[in-house]
Amino acid sequence: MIKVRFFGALRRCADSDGFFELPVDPGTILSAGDLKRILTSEFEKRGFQMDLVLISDSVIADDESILQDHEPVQVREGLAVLPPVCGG
Amino acid sequence: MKVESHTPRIEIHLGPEPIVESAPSCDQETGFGASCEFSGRVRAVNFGRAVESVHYDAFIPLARKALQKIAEEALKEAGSPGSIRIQHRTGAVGVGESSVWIQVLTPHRDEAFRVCRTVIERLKHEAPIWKKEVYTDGETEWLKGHSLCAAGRNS
Repeated sequence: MIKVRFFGALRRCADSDGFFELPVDPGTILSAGDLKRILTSEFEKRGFQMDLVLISDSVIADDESILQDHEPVQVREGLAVLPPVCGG
Repeated sequence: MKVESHTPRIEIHLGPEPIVESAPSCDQETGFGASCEFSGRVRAVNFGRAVESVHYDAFIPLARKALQKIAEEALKEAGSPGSIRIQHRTGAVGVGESSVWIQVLTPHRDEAFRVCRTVIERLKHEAPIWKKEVYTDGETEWLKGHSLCAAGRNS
């Protein structure tokens, strides 16, 4: 299991520290798109149907960059899931 | 001053501290005759609902990188030397308080206006920052935003 970080509206689906646990072993290499599909599956299992659209509109990122859906990512603690933004 | 060789001075600050909207410091180059500032403040009413405060969330490391890139590209697009300061609040910001402040210094006013506008518009669409409105009746709502799905690794 690993924990990814949720931001913005996704925080309502996370624990009090903003983390969301996923059933993936640390070190596994997936595409960012695969990680989003796992998130979608977990949202369906946990009853977050209303927020599924947020996952489809989100991107996976690390501290350095946003990952495109086809890009490989080594699953690790602290990967971020960024829903649509609205600063200012 | 030889503006052609100017290296942009870009300062970015994200944090919970109140924004200090200040004049350019005296050590900044005097070749910049234009200073354009934008201050975004929390409205008391949004879409008919009475707002008490806005809570800002940010993915700080990537937001800092995004704002740096936006500032650099805005100056490049304008074909102008310049300096840019961007401050953005995180956490709770009360009605009337400044949530974002942008200051652009360039040699002439046209570039200053254009760069300032570009920075605030791109900030709203590209920086990983989110806001949740807290209403006076106690309800809250995360505001809809702009997906970063079109952004790539180099964004």
